[in-house]
Amino acid sequence: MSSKFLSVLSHLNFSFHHILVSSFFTLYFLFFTLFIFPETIDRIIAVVNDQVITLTDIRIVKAFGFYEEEIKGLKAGVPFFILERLIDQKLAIQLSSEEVKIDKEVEAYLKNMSEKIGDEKVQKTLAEYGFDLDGLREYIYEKILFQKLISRKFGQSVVVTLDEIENYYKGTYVPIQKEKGLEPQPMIELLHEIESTIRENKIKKHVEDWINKLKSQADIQIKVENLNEYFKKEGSKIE
Amino acid sequence: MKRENLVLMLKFTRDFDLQRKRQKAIWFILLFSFLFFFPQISFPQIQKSFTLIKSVSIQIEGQPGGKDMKELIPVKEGEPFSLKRITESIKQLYSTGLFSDIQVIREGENEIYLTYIFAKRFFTREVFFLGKKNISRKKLKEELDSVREGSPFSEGKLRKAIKELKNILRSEGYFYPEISTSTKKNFKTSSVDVFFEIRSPKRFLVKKISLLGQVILPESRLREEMKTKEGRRYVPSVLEEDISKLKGMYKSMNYHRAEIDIEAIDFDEREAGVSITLKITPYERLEIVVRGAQIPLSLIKPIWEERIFEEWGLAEGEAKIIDYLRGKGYLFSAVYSSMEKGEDKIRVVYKVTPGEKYKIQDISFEGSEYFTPSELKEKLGIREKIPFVSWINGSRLFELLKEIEALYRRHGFSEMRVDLNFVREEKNVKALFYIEEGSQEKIESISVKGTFLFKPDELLKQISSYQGGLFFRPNIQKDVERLKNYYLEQGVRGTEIAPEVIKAGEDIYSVLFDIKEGKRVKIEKIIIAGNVITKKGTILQELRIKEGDYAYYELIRETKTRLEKLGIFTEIRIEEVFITPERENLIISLREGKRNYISLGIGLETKNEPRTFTIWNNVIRPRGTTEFIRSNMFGRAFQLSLVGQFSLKEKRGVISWEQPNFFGLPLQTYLNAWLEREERKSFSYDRRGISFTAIKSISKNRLFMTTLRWARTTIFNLQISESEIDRQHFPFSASSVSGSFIWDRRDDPFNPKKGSFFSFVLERAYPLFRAESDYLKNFIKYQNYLPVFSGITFSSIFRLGLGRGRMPIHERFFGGGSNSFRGEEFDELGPRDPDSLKPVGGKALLLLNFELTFPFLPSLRDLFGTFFYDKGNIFAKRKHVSLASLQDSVGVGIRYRTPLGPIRFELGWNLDAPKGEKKVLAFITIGNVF
Repeated sequence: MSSKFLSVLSHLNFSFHHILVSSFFTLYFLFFTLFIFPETIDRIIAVVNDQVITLTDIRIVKAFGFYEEEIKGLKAGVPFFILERLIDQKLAIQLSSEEVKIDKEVEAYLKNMSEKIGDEKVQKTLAEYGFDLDGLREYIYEKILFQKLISRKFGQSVVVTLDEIENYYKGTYVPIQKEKGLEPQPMIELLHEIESTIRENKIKKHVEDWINKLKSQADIQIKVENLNEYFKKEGSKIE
Repeated sequence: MKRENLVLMLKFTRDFDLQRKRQKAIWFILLFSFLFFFPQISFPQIQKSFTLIKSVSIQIEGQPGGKDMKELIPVKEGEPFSLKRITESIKQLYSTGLFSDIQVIREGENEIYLTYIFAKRFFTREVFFLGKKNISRKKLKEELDSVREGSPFSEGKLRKAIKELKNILRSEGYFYPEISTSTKKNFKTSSVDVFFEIRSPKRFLVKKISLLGQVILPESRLREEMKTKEGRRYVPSVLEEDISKLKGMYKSMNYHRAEIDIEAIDFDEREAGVSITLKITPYERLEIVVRGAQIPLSLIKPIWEERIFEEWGLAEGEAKIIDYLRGKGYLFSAVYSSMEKGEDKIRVVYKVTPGEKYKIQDISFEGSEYFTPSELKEKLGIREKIPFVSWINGSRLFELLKEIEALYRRHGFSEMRVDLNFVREEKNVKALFYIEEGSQEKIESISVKGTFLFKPDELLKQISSYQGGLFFRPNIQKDVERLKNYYLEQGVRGTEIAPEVIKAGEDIYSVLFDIKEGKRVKIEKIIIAGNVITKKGTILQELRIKEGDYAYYELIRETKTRLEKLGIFTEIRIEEVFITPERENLIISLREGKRNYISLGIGLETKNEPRTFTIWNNVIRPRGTTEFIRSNMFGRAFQLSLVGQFSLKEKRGVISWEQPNFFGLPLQTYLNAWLEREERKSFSYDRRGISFTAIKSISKNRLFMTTLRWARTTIFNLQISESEIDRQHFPFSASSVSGSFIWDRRDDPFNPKKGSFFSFVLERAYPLFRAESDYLKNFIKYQNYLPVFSGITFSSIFRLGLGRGRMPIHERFFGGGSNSFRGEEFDELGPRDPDSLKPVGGKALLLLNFELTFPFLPSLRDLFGTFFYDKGNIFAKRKHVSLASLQDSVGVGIRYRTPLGPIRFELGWNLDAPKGEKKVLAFITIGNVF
């Protein structure tokens, strides 16, 4: 090191260690300021016939595992999947004019959720978002109401014929069993199960068609191109 | 050099030795604290409890927002940070209709800095289509749904609009167009012009049309009917019309279920041609046979046009035939139906036994204790039978069964039963409704629970149900709505009301309204947005609610009504945005409408009885009107209008200035200036004048009006002797002040059926500004409309006019014609000039008109008949007024009701016509007698 430099340092009472530490702090500070601030904490993601879905709505639904079963199979696009479900819910509920009492079902769902996630975690997550249980109930209410509307609309009208059961048995069940190297059970033993599966699939198809029809007539605006960018950091903070 | 450096280094390190340990400790503590706490602020979801919001700022379209806009945001500085509050605020702000997108940015950790970023909501001002000129722009605008002038605009809608446009163009025969869009935004008015450029649409010629399937009809005939032909342009919408036409042809051949589908459309792009294949499936030929009665087949055919359950079709046909026959008086008809199916034929046979035709003489009720027979008739709309006037028919008679049941159920008789019996007397029949009322369900007790803001008695006054009253479940629901409205009217929001109905005994119920009261909300701030031209003061003047008031719903509604009355806004939204459960901001979002209005009208007028219907005799004259209005001038809702009216007998030009307020006073004012020329019976005149009118509404249907007027009149073409007028004051000037009081309680000003109208006008003309007239004139009018029975109205009009002083001829009272006295021609009632026998008018007028109006035919609801009696006269002087001098006329008429008043055709007989004069006069008029 040059004598002049050392001389200056000695006057400033700075040591080499000080320089190192200051540099570290500067880099550390820059890292957080450049990569963290400022941040969009909430915004409109979609508008469905003048009803708004915000980023917080999607985060809440994701945080409390509302669609956990369906999401399990997804490798990517979870936020968009949730957005689609919320849009479907809003469309169906907007059409319904009757008042449906589902308080008991809402409480049962909430109880089930608390048992699954744990009370403490529920409270902690609610606190992070500034919500209380009543706020959470609103999301649960919408979900259950949607399910009830679907069930009322399509539950009774779906009929499964014997032909359909037979075709399913021969065309789907038997090949799958053979692929697995298993002996297919007689159709008579599986009637109820197959009927249930076909009914579920039919209802799902009816619902899809109905929702697609509602979507074609609705005014839906998606305000964000890439929803995933708002969920990049989520994995480390909220499961 | 090296040795010196080494010495310096040693010195350097030795000098630090003493302070080093102290500094080390300080640095260590600082480093530890920084490293531990700093990362926690980098993730917004992890919050400390009670982190406060340091500041809230806003940006609109990249520019900082004003103080007014900041007041909009329910999230305030100093309150704890909460994502729930923020997400709710975003939803509330969106509902104001002012913004199309909202983002919230956060900075800071211990102190949070929020920025709300808004994108304005734009509205489509105008839509332009560029490109091919021969595509109808009007049609494109009308059929384009996603982008419409006046509706909210978003970029997403443009993509949808392109798809729609392609479909519309395709249906008009323009295929594979390239469509690009562009927009021009006006940030000041939040409006956007949308441009669609349509390029290179292709057109195709029809090369070949093939008809497949069971054609049945001759192909040449089918092709002749079609507009789509080989060699012509292919237009899908025209092909659709052709298919409908062909289906109609098959229908007329009794192939009601025929289907014609487009089997294939093959495009040859190289040759720009298209081949069309239609498949015709006629299905069965349907024959409907009705035996035993003349029934229009158009009644039955539509039932069988679709594929239906045959049992249902037969039953439906039977029901329609029976209903039809009952309407014709065949009250006891019977119908049996059957169906025969052939290979390609279906035959539906209805065997009808009509029975005897009867006239319904009377309707009576038995067994009813709750209602008297006359009460039942009134409630069911059954009027008394009047000779020569059609009464109730058989079909309606049977409908009464359901109506009686519904009426009783509404009054708590849930178990009632009603039967219809007949007593036949030759060709007449008396209908007897036998009613078993059953017991009436009543309310034993009615109460409210959970109310703290209001006394229970106060709440119970708002509902229709009461203790001891009848019980009817739908009424309970209506009462819930009434209570909810009451809370809203009192400024309370968030109230939930659940009714509980408990059966307390046999047909006795207790009703409890369980109320979860919301909070009484105060208005913190009123924010006005969307006004570009309109001054804020103009809007504030119409507010009936102010900052600091409770959010009384009625006042909010009244504010909206008053703003609508200004007539300058196309959309008015008043949104309540909650800051806290007890405080809210009121956001008034406005959209200003277009300011220029032009209209042209052309029609016919007559002031004499019609002798012929050619316009050359000037009996029926053409008439035109033109009008230009410029509204919202200076942003103060002022209106300027120019009106011109012209016909062969009169010309008029009027310029008007209208203001909703007068220098801050709540007075609607008009300033009018006019030029007119009119030809009357005994004179013609030119007049110019100016007037100022102020109108003050006292209540919904009462108002005061004051008018200051100056007019100069030049009379010419005088048909009476000059001694009848003041020759020395020729032309005449009149300056006058008049006051009017109007009280209008009619149910409809154009087609009144009940109510009354009263007006009182007093006019004093002063000889000011070199004006010659010096008179006092008074005019009183009273109209009354009384519904007598269902559809029949009795109306009466009383008019009294009195004047004194120097009244020139054009200020005198005249009478005669379709709107005053129908025994004389227009203006001909009253004193005449002894030489020319032309009317001279008078200083007194007394007129009475009586009319009985009744429906003509039940099937034509807007056609009425009328009998009238007019009595009155015009008197030269007030002292000549005498009841014995009143003339009488009677008459009949037909009138057809339109939204702007009835079209009347009337015949009047003057019972006091002098010998040699016509007794019967005919009139055609639009509007009521006034």
